[in-house]
Amino acid sequence: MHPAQPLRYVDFGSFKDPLVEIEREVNAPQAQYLRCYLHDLRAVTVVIEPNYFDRDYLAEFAEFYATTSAGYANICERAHYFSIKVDRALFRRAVGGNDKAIAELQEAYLGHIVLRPLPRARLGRTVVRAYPDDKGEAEGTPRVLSPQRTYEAHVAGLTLSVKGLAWQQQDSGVGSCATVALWSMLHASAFDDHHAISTTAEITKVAAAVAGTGRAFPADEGLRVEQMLEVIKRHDLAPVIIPGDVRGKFSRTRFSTLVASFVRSGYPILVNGDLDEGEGQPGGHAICIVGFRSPTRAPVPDGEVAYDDANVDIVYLHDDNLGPNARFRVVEVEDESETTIDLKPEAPAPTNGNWPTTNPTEGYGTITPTELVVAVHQELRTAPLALQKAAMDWSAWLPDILDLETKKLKVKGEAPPKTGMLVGTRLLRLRDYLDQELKTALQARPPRVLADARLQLWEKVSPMSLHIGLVRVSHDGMPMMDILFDTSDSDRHLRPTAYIAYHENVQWLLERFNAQEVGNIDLGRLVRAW
Amino acid sequence: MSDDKQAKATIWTGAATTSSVLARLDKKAPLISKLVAKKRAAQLRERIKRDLVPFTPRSTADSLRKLVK
Repeated sequence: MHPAQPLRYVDFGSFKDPLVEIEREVNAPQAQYLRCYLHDLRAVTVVIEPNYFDRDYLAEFAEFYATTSAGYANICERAHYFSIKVDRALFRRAVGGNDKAIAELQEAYLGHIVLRPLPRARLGRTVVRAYPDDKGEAEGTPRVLSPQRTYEAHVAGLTLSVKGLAWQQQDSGVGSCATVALWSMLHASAFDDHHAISTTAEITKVAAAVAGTGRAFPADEGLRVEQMLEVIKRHDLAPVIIPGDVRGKFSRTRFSTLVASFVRSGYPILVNGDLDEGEGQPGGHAICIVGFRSPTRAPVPDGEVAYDDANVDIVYLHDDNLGPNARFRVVEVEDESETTIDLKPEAPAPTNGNWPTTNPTEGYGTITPTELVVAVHQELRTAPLALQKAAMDWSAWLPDILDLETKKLKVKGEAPPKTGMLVGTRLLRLRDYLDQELKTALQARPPRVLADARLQLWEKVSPMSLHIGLVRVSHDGMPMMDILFDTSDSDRHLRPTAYIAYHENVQWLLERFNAQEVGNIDLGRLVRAW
Repeated sequence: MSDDKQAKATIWTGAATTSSVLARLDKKAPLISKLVAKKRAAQLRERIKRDLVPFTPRSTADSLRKLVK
């Protein structure tokens, strides 16, 4: 029997802080990263559960560690980090149901780390909250972390919740970096109760069964990309793989727009690439992109439409060599007269005095992405590249005709209005479009406009698929129209089902375009939202 | 939504309000000639073609066998 033990309360950064212990014992860069990360989140106290059965570790134990002669335990510890001083008295009040104490602990809760009894891979499932983003919000460049979800930790009847996406250190006994990236990806908010989250051991077993490169455990062979795709399929999800467009690497536009579209849709992205650590040949490496910072709105030439998010500068990713939410800059590299992109680590400046230890992000290698791999819902059959193409094909007419019509109005001495527009794509549930997107876009209009738009979509438009492809065209920060695509058919039949016009004159411009330009744009059923 | 908030809105957070550009369009303006229309349509097709270059599907054959450790 494992002995019963009391909860422990230790100061963050003290020699009893598990991260300090790990750094002292094995000099793990992941422990250093988390110490710096939690320091900037202003961690003060660590509450340690000495006995915690972790689902992921138990699966690893059952598959591998139970049959080694080393005598590993089957139980973990779990460390909870708080931004206030927490002692037994405060914790006891919260556990006893005191609302004030519960609220105080929840407000200060930064996340938790499962500590495995594995000397070289102690950091198990880790969920930490993201840094505050007041500056980004104020400047109109908010961080987008849609794949995050809420995790609950239950300690002695007290429920603590944290929003994040699970990360863990690679344990080469049962998985590779690709296994960990896949595991994080399958935790995303996009998925629901119908999709069970695999353990790393299960991922390794499936991968070995379909295209084994050697024995499954210990998993020191790594994974081939085809194995990753098979793992996704075995989870009742559909794999999407998008290779780079410039001799196997990515142009900025392809990378940025696709990453933004997936992340805004709630799907994290497994990026396969080469990690250049400055010594020898770059090696294959997999990471999981969980977010990005919205770029500043780029100017668009009059009469043209440009892809929104084509100039993403910052992405946030889970790297098993570092930790969760690591900040990387998208940098352009001139490569044989063509421009491709690399991901270069760039930790934000410390916000809470000096970091308590070396931040391993500094000096970490550059990643050159070569493939994007995404797990999407099976019902979603439209290829992301086809949706990007459709976005341009079906929206370019609007700024074109607007430019033509505004030039006819040219008043002497008055600067002509800007007519360039931005277009963005997303994949989302129809119900979320009706519930959230329409509401946001129509927040400044009277409620009857929202009611009319919703009812028109429900009553006048042909039934649509569970997931829709959404193309939004925006002018000067204001939505002009949304074009909705059914995603349940093949790309050959990809056509707009309906379009939501946010201004009466959008409909008039469409008629005008069809009347005087060559071509006949049919956007499906008009939904009036003005 | 205030002007400042609107100015900082992203494509997904902006709210539809009255558009001064769309509101002043002259619905009685004459149509352009067929010749000019044809030229404009060709230019538009060229622009679309140019903008779609980064989204060309690529073969995944070389990717599938890559090993990631």
